[in-house]
Amino acid sequence: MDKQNSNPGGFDWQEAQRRYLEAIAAFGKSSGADPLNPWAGALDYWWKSVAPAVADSEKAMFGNLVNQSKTFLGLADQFGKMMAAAAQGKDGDWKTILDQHLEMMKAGMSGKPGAPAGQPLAAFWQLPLDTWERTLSSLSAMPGDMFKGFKDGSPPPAADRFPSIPGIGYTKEMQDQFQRGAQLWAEYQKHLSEYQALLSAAGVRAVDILRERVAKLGAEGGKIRSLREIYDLWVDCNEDAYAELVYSNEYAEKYGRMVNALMAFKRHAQMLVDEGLATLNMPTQRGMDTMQKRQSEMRRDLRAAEQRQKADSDAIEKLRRELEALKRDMRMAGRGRPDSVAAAENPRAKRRPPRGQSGDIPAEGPE
Amino acid sequence: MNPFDFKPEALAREILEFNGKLAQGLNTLSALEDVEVGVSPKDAVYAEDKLVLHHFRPQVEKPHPVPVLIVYALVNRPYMADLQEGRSLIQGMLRAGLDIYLIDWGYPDGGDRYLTLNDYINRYIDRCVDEVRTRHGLEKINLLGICQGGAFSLCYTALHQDKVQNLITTVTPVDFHTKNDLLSHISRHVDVGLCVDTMGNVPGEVLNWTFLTLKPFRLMGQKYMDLVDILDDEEKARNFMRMEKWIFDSPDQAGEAYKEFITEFYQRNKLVKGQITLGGQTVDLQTITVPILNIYARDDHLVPPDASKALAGSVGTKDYTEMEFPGGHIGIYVSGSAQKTLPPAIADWLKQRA
Repeated sequence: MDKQNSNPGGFDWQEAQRRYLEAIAAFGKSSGADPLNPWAGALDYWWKSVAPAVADSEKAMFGNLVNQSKTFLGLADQFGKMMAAAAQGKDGDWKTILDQHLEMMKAGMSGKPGAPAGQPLAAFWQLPLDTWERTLSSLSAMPGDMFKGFKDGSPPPAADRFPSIPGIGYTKEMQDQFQRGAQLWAEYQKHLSEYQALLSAAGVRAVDILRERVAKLGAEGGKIRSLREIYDLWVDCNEDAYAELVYSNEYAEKYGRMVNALMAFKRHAQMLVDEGLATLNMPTQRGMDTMQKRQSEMRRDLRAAEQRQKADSDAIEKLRRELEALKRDMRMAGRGRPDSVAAAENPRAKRRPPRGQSGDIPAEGPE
Repeated sequence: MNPFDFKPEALAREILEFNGKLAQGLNTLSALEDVEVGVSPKDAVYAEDKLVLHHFRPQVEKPHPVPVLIVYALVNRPYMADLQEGRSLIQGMLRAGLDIYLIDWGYPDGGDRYLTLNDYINRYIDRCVDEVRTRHGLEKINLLGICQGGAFSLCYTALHQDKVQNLITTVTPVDFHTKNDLLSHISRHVDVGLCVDTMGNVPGEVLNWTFLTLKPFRLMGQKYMDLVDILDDEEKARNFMRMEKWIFDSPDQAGEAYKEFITEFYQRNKLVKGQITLGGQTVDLQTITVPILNIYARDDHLVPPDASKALAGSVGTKDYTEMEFPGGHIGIYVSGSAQKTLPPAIADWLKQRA
């Protein structure tokens, strides 16, 4: 059997290769391919065709790898065009060509209305935020966020006025709670947008850093000979721009506000879920928290009581030994041969200490 | 001079080669199945709640008489210190003649939500220390703390110095407000109480996200491009997957303890100020007089060297040794160079203080 097909995971390598070649071929004639990122589109097409054959346990890892590869290929396409144009420019021209491409990239990353769409560079800067949203969505008190429909784009008409409509009648309290939820969600969206704007600005700054680095490289006679080199350089520029951002007080404050706003919303959503559960006479998170807290306190009390009990037991045992030693000494004294109490205090001691030096109980028994 | 030096056909060839490596790499990865972690034989000798105390089987005939208890962090899993053959701090220490115990904190769940730092330090660690002392008939043993576990070991030693012979701290934060401490910086304005009230235990995924966003483009992007380059080598791919497994094997954090650690240590920087209180007792690092070996990583982006080196002026011992490792926060445990330098250095230092 071919080594590459002797795969215990059951992944059919030859079949995957065939589909990949088909995807590449289809990429040339398919009208469905992404015209902005054709290489990434071909990879996506291929991945969709082979993903069903990949074991579920491995799909997440493979998916991650493919997603990053798509980003790389998207960058390759974008930088490829720029590098090809710049490589053809004369020594004076390449800077102009580079500047034109970089300005286009910056416009795409600015997130402003009318900016060029489908910029892989902008997608690169979505990495932290995408991961944040995926992480937090898994923590929702309900299956999916209550206000998920509001998430992208503008809220439905009049939605901004909904939270301020006064509640009346029997359902007033419920309405108040939902309105409060809507307010908290709007606050989170506001802080999220501010945070996002910071990242976008840093993305634009990364392009400027790239421009500076390439210019410096050119001045020093250095060369960029592959896409991977420019990709690595681009990563360095992003990390530098990101570092400039995250060490700022503004970032720490806006990051804190975003996290706090989301937590406030989720806490409120949790309370609403609890309300619903309580009406169904089912256990609530709040009730569970109370029980867990009391149980922890009881365990601490119990442990402290055990420690006190052990200390008491040790003290009683010591007193018992002392008492026995005293009794023994008294018996010995009656027979004219007194004993040491110290031995009782330390029953494992092999040698009996000299008379009168055995501890806090006098070696001489009471007459 | 124009630095761009390539032709479009070279670009197309590079992309095709990349795609080929990626497609073939998926086959390599799917053939790996589950990667194994933890290499040194060990026995569970004590358990309480989720905690398990492991004793590694000594690898020399007469190990050093005073055993070492490793106190790992609550974050991630302790097999990082024993990841694989040839990349294991524990294996190196065993071969250097030491007798090793390790606390595995397990995976906290909802029932552990109200565990406090006092529970972890004055209860769990203390019981493990007592267990090791009893097993060896010793009054004192050696402690080795890893990262957050190092901070716990410092607190423990300050309160139970009669049970600690020597203390080794590795990549341990002491001053949480140094200039380059990014974790501290980004957590400064987070309402941790609200987070814990909302989430209960703090999910491991949240911590993962936090760590990844310290260097997002390298850790969430470039790292996987590097993986594509090594996917034709099964052993390298396996090593990568071991690290990947460890990185994402993140236990949830017991809510109360997490809240205390972030607010008291990170936000208020109370450890170095001598203001931490546990079970009604103040943790004053100046009271620590046992010998200390403090190992920090020169390129640590999680615990900057200055955060660790602050220990020098914070403890009362006259026997303080500092050691710099030329690598990062994780490299100190798994890199090839660490295996050659750290275990013998630790063993020698301990043997001189037997």
